[in-house]
Amino acid sequence: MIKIKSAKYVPHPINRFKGNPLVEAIEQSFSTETLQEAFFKMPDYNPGQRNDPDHLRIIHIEELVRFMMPLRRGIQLAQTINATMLEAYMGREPNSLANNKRVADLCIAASMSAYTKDSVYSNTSQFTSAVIGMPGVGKTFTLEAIGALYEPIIYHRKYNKYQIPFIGIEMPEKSSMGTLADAIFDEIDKRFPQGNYRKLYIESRANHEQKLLKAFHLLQVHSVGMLHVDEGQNNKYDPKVKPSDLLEGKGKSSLTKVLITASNRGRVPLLISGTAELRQVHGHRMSLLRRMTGKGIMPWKPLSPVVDPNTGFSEFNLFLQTLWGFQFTKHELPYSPALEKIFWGFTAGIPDFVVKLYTDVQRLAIYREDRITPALLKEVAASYGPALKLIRAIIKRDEDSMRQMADVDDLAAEFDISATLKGYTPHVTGLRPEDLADAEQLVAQACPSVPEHLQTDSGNDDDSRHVVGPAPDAQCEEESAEEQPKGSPRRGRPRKPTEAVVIPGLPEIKFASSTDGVFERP
Amino acid sequence: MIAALPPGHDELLGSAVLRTCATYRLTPEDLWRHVTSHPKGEKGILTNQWFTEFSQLFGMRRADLIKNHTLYPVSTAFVDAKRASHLVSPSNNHYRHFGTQRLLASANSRGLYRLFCNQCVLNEMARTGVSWWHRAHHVALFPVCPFHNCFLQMSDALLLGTDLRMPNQCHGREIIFGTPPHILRVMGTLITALLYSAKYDYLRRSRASIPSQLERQGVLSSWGVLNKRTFSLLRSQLPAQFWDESNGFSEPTVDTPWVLRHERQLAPKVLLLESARLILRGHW
Repeated sequence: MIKIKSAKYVPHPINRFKGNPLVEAIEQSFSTETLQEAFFKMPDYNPGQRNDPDHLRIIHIEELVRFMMPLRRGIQLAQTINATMLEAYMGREPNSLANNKRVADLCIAASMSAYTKDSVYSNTSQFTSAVIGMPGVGKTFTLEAIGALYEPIIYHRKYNKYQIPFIGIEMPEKSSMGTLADAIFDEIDKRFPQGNYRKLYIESRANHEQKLLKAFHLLQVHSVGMLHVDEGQNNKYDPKVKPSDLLEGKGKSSLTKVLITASNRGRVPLLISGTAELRQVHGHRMSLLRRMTGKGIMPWKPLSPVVDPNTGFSEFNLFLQTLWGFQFTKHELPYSPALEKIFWGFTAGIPDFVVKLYTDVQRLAIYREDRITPALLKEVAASYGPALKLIRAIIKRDEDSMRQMADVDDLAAEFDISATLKGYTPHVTGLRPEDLADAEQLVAQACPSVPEHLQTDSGNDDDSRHVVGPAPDAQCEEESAEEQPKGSPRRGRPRKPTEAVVIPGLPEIKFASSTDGVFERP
Repeated sequence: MIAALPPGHDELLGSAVLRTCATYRLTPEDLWRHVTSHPKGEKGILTNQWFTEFSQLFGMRRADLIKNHTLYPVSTAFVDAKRASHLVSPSNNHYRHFGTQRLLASANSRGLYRLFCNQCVLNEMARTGVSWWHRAHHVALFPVCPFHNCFLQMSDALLLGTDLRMPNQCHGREIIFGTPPHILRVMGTLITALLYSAKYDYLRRSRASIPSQLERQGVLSSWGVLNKRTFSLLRSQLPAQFWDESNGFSEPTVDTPWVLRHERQLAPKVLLLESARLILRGHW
């Protein structure tokens, strides 16, 4: 059971929040330094664990799935969420005139559609935002970590109120008002089991609209500061509708619109996260798209390989180097730029795949030679089957790849591959050759001196573009990796790569992004 | 158990329960069932135990809930302390109450409709955005708001119904204009004193002063009972609506014994309601 904390009011440094018990009771330290510390989630590791028996090391490896390091986008998101939450708490002070009127509005609404019908409210306030990104880039993981920064529940004795600053639910697969309401009831029940809302509401004979209205009552009763709806793309459309009809705007679900309007009217901030399909879901209404953008939340992409000239590291480089410090095999394989390239080629910089590959290869290594080798990496990556094919397609982005990705809904949406041209000539609006050239130029402008580890071998001057990718036959990397002196770089800390390795016969990967999301060292 | 905002100033317990129902979008039956775990909901016959459960709902002390949100202080003002505390003791299962209807009706078993004061509603709406049913407005047979010294208005919400509406959402059924007679204003002051006296000691002290004050006003005879002459005077000064049987008010007849024994006055159904009658009948 979650322990309920009694509110301790700490005056807020900003004047307009002073005296607001809901604001003063929640965590107020959201400085970049504090967040960097909070987002550093490293396994409990010491080099001696590498000599533990196999079964213990397998258990240690499991801990790596919780690996997290602070990236600038995560910190920005946490600070944005906090700012939105505080703003929304203005005018929601318990038993205040404005709050009571708002609750009274909700009380007299006969149904959810009646409550959200009044468009006056829907345009006045902006408490909706969206985090859109590729699967596996860490949206949910980061948002869960942000949610954990707040107390799960805070008791205000004076008002006999149990405040829940942050709740996260998942948009149900077969999303309807009823199932969404059930998810909200369940989530609040987890934090406040005394309420027993499942019994109180779900088991009652109410229709779906009534249930969702009751769920919104609870959001007000518990002064919820932020409602995070994950997998927002699940609320796509009626499954019976054909994809071709979707292009004509048929069958789109109005659930998100209801949510957004209710959130704005009730001043309960709503954060929807999901894949790029979210854009398709809301693409039929500018009013929805408008609310899904802004607030400084950029689309979440895979870890960027573009080096920040200030720090000398890229996001991907830093992530992998830090992760690499947690090796549980008896024979340590030191980090090398060659490994970075192999990992990029097998993961496309998607953090989930990076961690998966690293943990899986260690598991397999423990039962083999107890060392990580590029061949083993390749073997493990190959076991991912269709997922690897898609990763390769993401990296390659040629015509065949696009055709392949057109079959995968979230990737097709991510790369904006037109569904109507599926099976014909792929039309990639977001990644045309001229765009690529522009992007390269931008990268070149951003970092005039191309970092060493992204350069090709000096003897290969004609191919001087930034190329990373896996080696089909990666013996050369193995050798170069083996040559690295053991333990020379510090474990878990970023190290500057020492040499570049040419991997012949690889498809060229061109950077389509600029220096967005480059990590700043704490 | 769910948590609800504590009742407002002078709010009747029943009114706070109904407001909680609206806040949580529950029927009174569902709320009652949730709070008391009684399978029949508010239809069930419950004992003094529910004071404890409702005090938990509102996050208050049981004693505070009884003292500040029921007419218990008025009803028991002239009863000895031991007897008064026994009446609401959780272990006392003899006295039974009947659901939220009785909670709200606790103030006025004789009226059919709930009463409110326009000025109170306006003030509350301006201050908090909501209004509620007051216990001071539901002292039986007492038609004046003791806070504003104006006549109470009769709403269209049935006293014994489970109408979730609050005063600002109701229409006035009977609107009475004019200034209440002096005698009612005096009694209003006394009722307020009884409702808000922080300590029973004060009440004990005021016991002596109240009758003498009323005697001076000519309301009470020197034997401590209401003069018939005074009652006639009251009737002549009050608007006719208050004596209209159809509105639920009934005039005590000559046969009605003016002085009743304590036990009978504090019978279960009238435990929290008949305070004004006690005063009117000069039962001290």
